Amino acid sequence: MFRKVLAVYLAVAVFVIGFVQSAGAAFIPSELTMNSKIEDMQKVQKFLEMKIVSQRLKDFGYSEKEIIDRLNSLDEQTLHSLALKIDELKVAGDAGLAIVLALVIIALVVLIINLTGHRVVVK
Amino acid sequence: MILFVKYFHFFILMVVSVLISACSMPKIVVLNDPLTAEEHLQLGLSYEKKGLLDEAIRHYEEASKNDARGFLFIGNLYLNQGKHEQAEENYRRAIKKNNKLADAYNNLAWLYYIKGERLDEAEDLIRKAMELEKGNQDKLKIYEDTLDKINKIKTK
Repeated sequence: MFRKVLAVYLAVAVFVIGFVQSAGAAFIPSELTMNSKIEDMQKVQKFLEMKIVSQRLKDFGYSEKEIIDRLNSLDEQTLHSLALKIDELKVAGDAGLAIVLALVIIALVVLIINLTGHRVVVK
Repeated sequence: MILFVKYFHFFILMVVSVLISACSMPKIVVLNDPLTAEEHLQLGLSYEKKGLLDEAIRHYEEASKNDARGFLFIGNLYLNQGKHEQAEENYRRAIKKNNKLADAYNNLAWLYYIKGERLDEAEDLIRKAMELEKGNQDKLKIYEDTLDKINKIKTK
């Protein structure tokens, strides 16, 4: 009885596998080009997201220890969210300060021009 | 007082310098991309499988700067969405960037097959793919299947 059940199961399995392969065989999906397995993707994703966040923290001047501490404190979901919004991640600062700075720089340029004996006139 | 008037410009300059140094200056940060093209493709693929299509495309585009498979994967993503024009455009970009990328020839041929148009060109494309991968039996089997389907539709 067991052999019969096994034989029927194998026959169905072979038929289904053969059918699935031939049904989608002519289009090469990206994972086949990449030769990557779906089950490995989650691990690879986590590793790469860590790499992205770690690099961004490094770019912002964090030390190796600080980066490790921060990465260790993140759970998988937070890491994923951070990696997705990495371009929105900025060092604290405000636009107002940038405007003030721009005005100061302009004032400085005018001043330097004045110092060299020239005059700046706004017409 | 006379001295102050004489060096008024220098005085102003010094005051401004002190003020600037007192402010917390905005930093210019150079952002580095830590991922290789291969890694961008892997991450894009992972996001695509989770339905994060915009993020997937972003990583494929990043990869496509150095690797033609970036365009191929964007083409595949669009093909799966039924966006045939965008798919075709990206397959062509992939082939232009790397004329040895056999899967791009196959998938472009497949696109023409499902649209039922430019079938002669589709046949040329798939033959090119077969020539490029003549040592790879697994891929050849798939390409032959594409060719077979194209020929069937042509003889109808």
